[in-house]
Amino acid sequence: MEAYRRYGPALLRKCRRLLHNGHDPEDIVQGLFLDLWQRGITDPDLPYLYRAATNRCLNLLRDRQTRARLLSEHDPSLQGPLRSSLEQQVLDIDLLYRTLARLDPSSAEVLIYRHLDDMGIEQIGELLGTSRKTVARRLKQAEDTLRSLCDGGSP
Amino acid sequence: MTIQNPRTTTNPTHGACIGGPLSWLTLDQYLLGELSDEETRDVSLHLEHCPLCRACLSEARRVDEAPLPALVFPERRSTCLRWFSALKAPRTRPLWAALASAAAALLVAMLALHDPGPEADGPGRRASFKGGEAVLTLIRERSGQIRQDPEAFAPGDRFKVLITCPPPWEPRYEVIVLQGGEATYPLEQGRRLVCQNREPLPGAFTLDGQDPALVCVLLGDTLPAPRTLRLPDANALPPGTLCTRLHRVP
Repeated sequence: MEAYRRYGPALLRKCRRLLHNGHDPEDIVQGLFLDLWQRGITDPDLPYLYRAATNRCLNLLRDRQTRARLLSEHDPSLQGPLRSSLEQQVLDIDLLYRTLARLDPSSAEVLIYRHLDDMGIEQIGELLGTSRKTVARRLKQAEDTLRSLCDGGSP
Repeated sequence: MTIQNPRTTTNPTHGACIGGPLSWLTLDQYLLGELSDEETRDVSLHLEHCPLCRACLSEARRVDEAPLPALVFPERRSTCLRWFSALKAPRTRPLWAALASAAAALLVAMLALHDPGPEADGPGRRASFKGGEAVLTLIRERSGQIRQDPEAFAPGDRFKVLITCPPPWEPRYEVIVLQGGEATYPLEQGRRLVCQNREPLPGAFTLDGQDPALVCVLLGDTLPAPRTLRLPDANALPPGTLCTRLHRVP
């Protein structure tokens, strides 16, 4: 499948940014392209695939045991150059997983695009087909949840 | 938790990012040559002055050099379609000959599906659950050849399980192989599945031994305690278990 050869590496890197190493990123990317093939979609574009891969990763992370397993497998030395930031702080992966577990799917998706994929609000809005205002609102909700967990309290 | 802002704090290896970092989507589109001319110029200019983003681009190029895992495609034609094709009689034959041939083919198919072992009365690949039906699909890879819902296994074959179940159900699952009166658990236990069409379960497995094998999947909001099921045969499996039968290639 040409689309898999072309976009597979980028999507694998994207899934590894969130799920890190192991077979989960490969399973997610392969499952995504198999699904596209079965639906007869042969020419997806990268923004569409980014969204699809993100949502599949989030589905996987909804399970607490999966989160615990991924954390136990996490090796920070394999992370590569780090650019993600939340104002003055770099996201801790455990904190990120706990935050994602508490967010609705829309806000979780925006948090990943902003702080793992380093997208600006305008680019996120283009990707989601929604306004900057909506993106900003979802991002604020996500970041408020993140900060409340940093402070050790519940949102 | 580390406190570090790569935008204003000097990264010991690559310095600080100049302005806002390029998003990974933009970097990936740049690598693939999918940006407009203007966007490409902007990215190139940023990379020229930003060692951190240049390092990310180099890292992406290095990682992308690794071989991509093979994509396993199931065969399009189902066993059912092949069976119906075998029943078709040529037009030139007399009707009684065609009917006799069809009856013989039907009998052969029924015998082929009949397993004299204890699994003969066991569960099948479909089962009803709340909200709809669940279906087990088994994919076999043998020396690069892919087959959906195979009927046999041989040493070296690899198997992948796909589950179709009604969304938004997210059941736990357990894959069990019954063979020679024993139960084995080839995939990671205690995980949860997000129901959709043909969702692949993580991991793959092989089958050994000389006896026919029954590959089963338990689905449920809760499952029995880990690996404590006493399974002398398929009839001991909980209701709603999905199973498919494989015989050993001689």
